[in-house]
Amino acid sequence: MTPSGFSRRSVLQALAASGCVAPGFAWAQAAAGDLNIALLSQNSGNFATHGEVVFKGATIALEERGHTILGRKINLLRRDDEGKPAIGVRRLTELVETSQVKFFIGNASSAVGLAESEIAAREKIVQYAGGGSDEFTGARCNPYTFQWSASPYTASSTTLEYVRKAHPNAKRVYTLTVDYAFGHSLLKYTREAAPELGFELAGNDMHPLGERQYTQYFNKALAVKPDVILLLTAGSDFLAAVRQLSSYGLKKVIVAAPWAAELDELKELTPQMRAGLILGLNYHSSINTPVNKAFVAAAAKRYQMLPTYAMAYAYDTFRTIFLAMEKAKSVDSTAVARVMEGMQLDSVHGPTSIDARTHQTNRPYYVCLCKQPDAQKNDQDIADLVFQGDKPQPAALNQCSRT
Amino acid sequence: MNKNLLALAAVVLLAVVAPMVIPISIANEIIVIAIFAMATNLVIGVAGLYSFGQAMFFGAGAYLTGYSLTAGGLSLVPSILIAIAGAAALAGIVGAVIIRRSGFYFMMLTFAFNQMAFYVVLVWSGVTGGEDGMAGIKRAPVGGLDLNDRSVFYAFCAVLFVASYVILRQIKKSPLGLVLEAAKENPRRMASLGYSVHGAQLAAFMISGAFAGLAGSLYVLLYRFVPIDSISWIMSGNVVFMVVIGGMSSMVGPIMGAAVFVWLQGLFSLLWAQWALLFGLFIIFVVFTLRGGLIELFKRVARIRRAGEAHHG
Repeated sequence: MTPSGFSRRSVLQALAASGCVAPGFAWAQAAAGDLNIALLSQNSGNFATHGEVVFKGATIALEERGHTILGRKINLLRRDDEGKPAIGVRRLTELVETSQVKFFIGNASSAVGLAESEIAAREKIVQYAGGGSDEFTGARCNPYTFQWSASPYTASSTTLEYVRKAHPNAKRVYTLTVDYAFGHSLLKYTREAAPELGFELAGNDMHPLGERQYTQYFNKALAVKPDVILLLTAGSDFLAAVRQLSSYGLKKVIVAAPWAAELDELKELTPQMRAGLILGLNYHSSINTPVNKAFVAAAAKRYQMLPTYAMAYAYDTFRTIFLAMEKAKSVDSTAVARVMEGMQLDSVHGPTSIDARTHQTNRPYYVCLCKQPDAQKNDQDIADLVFQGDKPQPAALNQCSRT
Repeated sequence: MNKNLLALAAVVLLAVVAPMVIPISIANEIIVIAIFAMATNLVIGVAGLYSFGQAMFFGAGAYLTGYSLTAGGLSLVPSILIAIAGAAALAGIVGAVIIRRSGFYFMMLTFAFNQMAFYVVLVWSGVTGGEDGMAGIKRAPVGGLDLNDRSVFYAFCAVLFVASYVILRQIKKSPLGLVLEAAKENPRRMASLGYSVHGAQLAAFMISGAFAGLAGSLYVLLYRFVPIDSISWIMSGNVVFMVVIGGMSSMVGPIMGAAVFVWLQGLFSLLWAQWALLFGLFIIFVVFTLRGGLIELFKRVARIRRAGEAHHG
């Protein structure tokens, strides 16, 4: 499939996968011995920008291995889940049924990823998720779902640690939270981490996913005179909130977001709008590790761009799955999942491990500070990496019942 | 051959052949959504009530089934029955309030009620799962049938699909259906003849709600998950598109509309990231070239054939 148009091959594959042609041909695309793996991401919806970037990361991971593993050809099947749990479940069900997919990565949206995790558990498919909800490794943990993104506890505490360090006198924090699993997780852990760092939570508002009008929340927030407004939201919701917050004319309030957007997405805001914004990140291209340097070089060569979180997620997760397959000497999903439990590896983050019980990838979390307009050297020079933390989720707060 | 029997044979054939030529999960979704489209056609095509809130009843069926099976601990058949009854009751309540409004006002009220229902589900997240949806739904066996087997579950849905078609078609042809169709053209004349137009419309609205609830219930069992999208206005809009694409003149039209809608959505999304544009173009093409929907194609072919026969005869 080409990103901007059709190819004869993509049309034939689409027709085959959707059963437009004779059944024999429809299933013939999975040649004997080939390994079908899948990528479920959004090409439309709140995280639409992720789709193409995730695909690029996955492509680099496959090209690194010449599209083969243990002597088998790897076919990457890509589907648009539209950012909707119903569509994600439908697409994954089709992939399992028609292409015998046993490994997939997805999803940037926790709601979609969690819905897909039900199928992962039932059909014994390895899922490497990238959403922000703690339920992947908590209440809804299962033997086949793994979590690449940092724990939302790590994200909240790392971001607030930086705020404390940079603004020792800041006291009152007002949170604005998106009303679904992802936002709930961040809020839960902000409530844990903030008092430990000497912050007082002055109030919270929940907003629905896809909200476009935020001024009513800011009116309420400003009434309690906060030092920090913490945006526990993401994607286009976050961008809309920052845009409106900027128009509101707030100069003295610190604006921070533990898990909101990629640096690339911030280009949608003017330098004035994003100046001084404190942003928690799962990944930054300047991470100084051998694996990341090689990945950055590959991304520059292949796509002439610096990798972003979405690209790193796809690359690192597929790379980890391939390493586990080699270690297991098998492409059997159960065997690979068992190897991934407790696995130690060198990832883009440096030395990394996967928790054997919860399946949380233990890795650092990063904080960036957006530059003032006159300090920017060029369009890419948006923010500096200013802090790094890796405080893991306390065991007492984890609800995974696996032993 | 009798036209009714021919249509029934075509519907049965579709249910039998579909899983042989397309992936069974897609075929299953088509027949489930087709029940929803037929139910919607009863209010839109037959009664002429332009409802943009049908997802309210589909979603009610979905959530009632999900809740009955999980927190309620009920078995499968009672859960489906609760979904049907609950959706019909909701349609009765909403219908009693809005059925006397007509045209644009009726349409806006259905939309408004749908939005209210959506926000109730969104806010009541402790029960509904809110934006994350309701998970952990299992297909309990029914009378020794293992519904976890895809083929068995498909057969279960197919039986209900064919039964829904027969019942809804009979309703369309019944005195109730005739009153509704006549009232669609001239409600005052029907009222002056002594028919309770609003009563008939309310009955149609409730019957439609019941079948939408059944479709919602089967949808949840199909994916073992209740997405919040199932009660959103987009779902209401989609089912109206299905009815328009397929054609409103018979109950076969909505089935065709559902089949094409579900299948094309999947196909286009595989072809191009901005697939919604292709889909929009397709709907525009159908509306402009086949004003009676896809079913119009069959009618045109039949007309050409008859004209050919007359010419030769």
